[in-house]
Amino acid sequence: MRIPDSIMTSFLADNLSQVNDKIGQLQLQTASGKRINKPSDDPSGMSQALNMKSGLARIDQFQKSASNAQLWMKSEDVALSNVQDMIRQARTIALQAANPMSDAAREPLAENISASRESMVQIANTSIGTRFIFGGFKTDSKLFTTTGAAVSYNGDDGKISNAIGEGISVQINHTGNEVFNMDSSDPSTPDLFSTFNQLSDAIKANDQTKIQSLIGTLDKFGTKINSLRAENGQRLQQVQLGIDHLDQSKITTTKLLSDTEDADISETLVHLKEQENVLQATSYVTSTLSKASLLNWLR
Amino acid sequence: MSTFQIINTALSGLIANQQALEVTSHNITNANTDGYHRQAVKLASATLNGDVSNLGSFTSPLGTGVDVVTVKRMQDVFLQQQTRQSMAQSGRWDSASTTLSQLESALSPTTDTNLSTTLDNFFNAWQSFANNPEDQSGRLSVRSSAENLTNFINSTVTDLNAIVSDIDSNLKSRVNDVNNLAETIAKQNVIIVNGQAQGISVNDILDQRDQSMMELTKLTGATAHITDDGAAYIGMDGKMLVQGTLPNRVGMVSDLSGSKIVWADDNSEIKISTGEIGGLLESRNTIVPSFHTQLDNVAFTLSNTINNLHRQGINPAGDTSINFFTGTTAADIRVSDSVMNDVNSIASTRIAGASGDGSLATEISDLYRKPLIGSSTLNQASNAIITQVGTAMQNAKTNSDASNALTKQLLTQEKSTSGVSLDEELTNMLLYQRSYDASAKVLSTADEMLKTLIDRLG
Repeated sequence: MRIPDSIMTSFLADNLSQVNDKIGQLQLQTASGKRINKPSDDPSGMSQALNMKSGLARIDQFQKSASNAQLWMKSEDVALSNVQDMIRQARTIALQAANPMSDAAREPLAENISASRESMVQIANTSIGTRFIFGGFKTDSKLFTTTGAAVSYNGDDGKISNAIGEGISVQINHTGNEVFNMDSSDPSTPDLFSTFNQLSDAIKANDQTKIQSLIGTLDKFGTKINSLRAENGQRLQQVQLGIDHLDQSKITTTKLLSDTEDADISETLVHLKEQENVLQATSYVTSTLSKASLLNWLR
Repeated sequence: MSTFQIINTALSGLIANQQALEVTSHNITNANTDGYHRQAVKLASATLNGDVSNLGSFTSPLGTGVDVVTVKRMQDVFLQQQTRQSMAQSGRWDSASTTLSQLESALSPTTDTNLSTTLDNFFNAWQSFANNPEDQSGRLSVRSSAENLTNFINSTVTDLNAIVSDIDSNLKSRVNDVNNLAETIAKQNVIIVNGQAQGISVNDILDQRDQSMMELTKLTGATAHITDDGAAYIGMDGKMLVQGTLPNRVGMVSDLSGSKIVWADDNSEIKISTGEIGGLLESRNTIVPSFHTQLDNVAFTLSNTINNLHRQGINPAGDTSINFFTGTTAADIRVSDSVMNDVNSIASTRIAGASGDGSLATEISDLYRKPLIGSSTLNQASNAIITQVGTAMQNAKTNSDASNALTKQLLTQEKSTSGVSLDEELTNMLLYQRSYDASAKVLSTADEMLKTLIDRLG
């Protein structure tokens, strides 16, 4: 075949530009650390990577949501255990007051119960930041207010849930009605604050039958709060399982994502070196070939 | 047979070799000229008057020297045609891949910023808001992520429109090129037909016309037919663009449905599916609109489904039936004015006064995994857009690489016939120079012979 000069030069120019193109690509991969730098680099890989990235963003969000749930439940548990302590203390005092003693000796016991009731109102108003945790959906204002002997509640029965996974949500709250029996219409089982109030009055008045029946009421509250704590504990455990699961899938997805879109740096560098060698060889050939001409020998 | 005949014979050698050297020199100077076809002299031994039948009884056993019969233009017509067709394919895929690479960067500016990731952020902001609905910062981040999302969709559409008008202006200048080339070829036809009729060498005009035809084919994929008188007839979609010495004109018409190329004389459409113009038309009328439609789909579904849910909600001010988005297309989707003016217009609940209830926000966030566009979620639909543009780009690039490689291969083969090899020309130069020297030597020898004859007899 005749090889005219223009072909020779275009051959060499094409080869040089091809090698330079490959080197450019490999340099981009090395610099970004990614095998896929635009969708056309690997459309199906890109699609997988996008799905995994969405998944990871979702996981991050659920992790935040789950730790929010944990914070809420742990705060509730602390509050509930405080309430439990107070009920236990009140029961002890009530038992003490069941013994015959002077009015003067009963007075401080009654005071003690009243004081407990005051701190219990504070516990009932426990908040995380500005969110009152025992208010159902009414989380934005002080829930329990004391007016004289009565404590009023302005929360509702809203059940707040947090999502801790795709399609999985956990209820995180108990309402004032559930914990303190605020919605009671039955005079024989009043709310917890009234129970304390009545106990204080009964101790002051030395009304032994009333004291005995109130001890029974306190026991009911004790059992109830115990079961609420147990329920809360179970939910916490569920959230923990959720978090473990999220952590696990985050690790797996991150690994898969890296496999899909990240460049194997050592491999990329080897390829880069390879192409640089090719470039050098091509450049050398270009420089020597262009010197070879019949013209050099015609003088 | 006489001594004077030797002088004439030697003279023909001088002239022929001089002409051959002229051709060689023409070849060498045009070694790098685009579209130049190497020329070669065809020499033949000359007989008296060039015609033996006139000689009658006076016949000489010897010839009368050398004659330049013709200066041949070395070409391979078949390969040339194939090269042109392959160039039309290259042109098509090159212009398609230019458009697609613009589309690719419009739809997926980086692998971390694209429609898919902005959608993720939007739905995650709702999820976060659902956990702390009383928190002002949750509302702010829902609004800002929604703004990011609508801005991204709007600016993508702006980019698509820019690509379309870019293609249109490209098409316009290509149409101009086609008209200019058609006119040029018609003019070249005139020169070639006249020249060949008068027996004048038109090799260099032929080169130029080949070059014009190649450019025309690269633009439109139009096919050429050369008639016996040397004129080129060029047809496109069943009609003549160049009819011998008469050029036709084409024009471009754009409307809402797209752009098309039409004949200037009767405004009928010319279907062009290959060449640069074919590639541009495909991008303009099919590829870009299909992505535009898909974006519109995403925007419409987003606006509709989110508004439907959000309108059921009650915001802290007690207002209900508030739209979160306005607009129903990718070009006009925005965050609604009420939300832009006051983040407290955003509702997280269906229950009045339930400031701690994020159940509606959770429902909105859960739209993330609901099949809303056919069987795809919004996210899958936007992933599909990105994947499609990637696949189309990859496909166009593969095709453009393949057709460019084929074009190069064919050009190389064609050049092996038509290209100038300097080594070869230099060798020819030596050859013709030596022949010229030798003819001169013969001349001087004949002269000496005559001298001898005249001196001795004189």
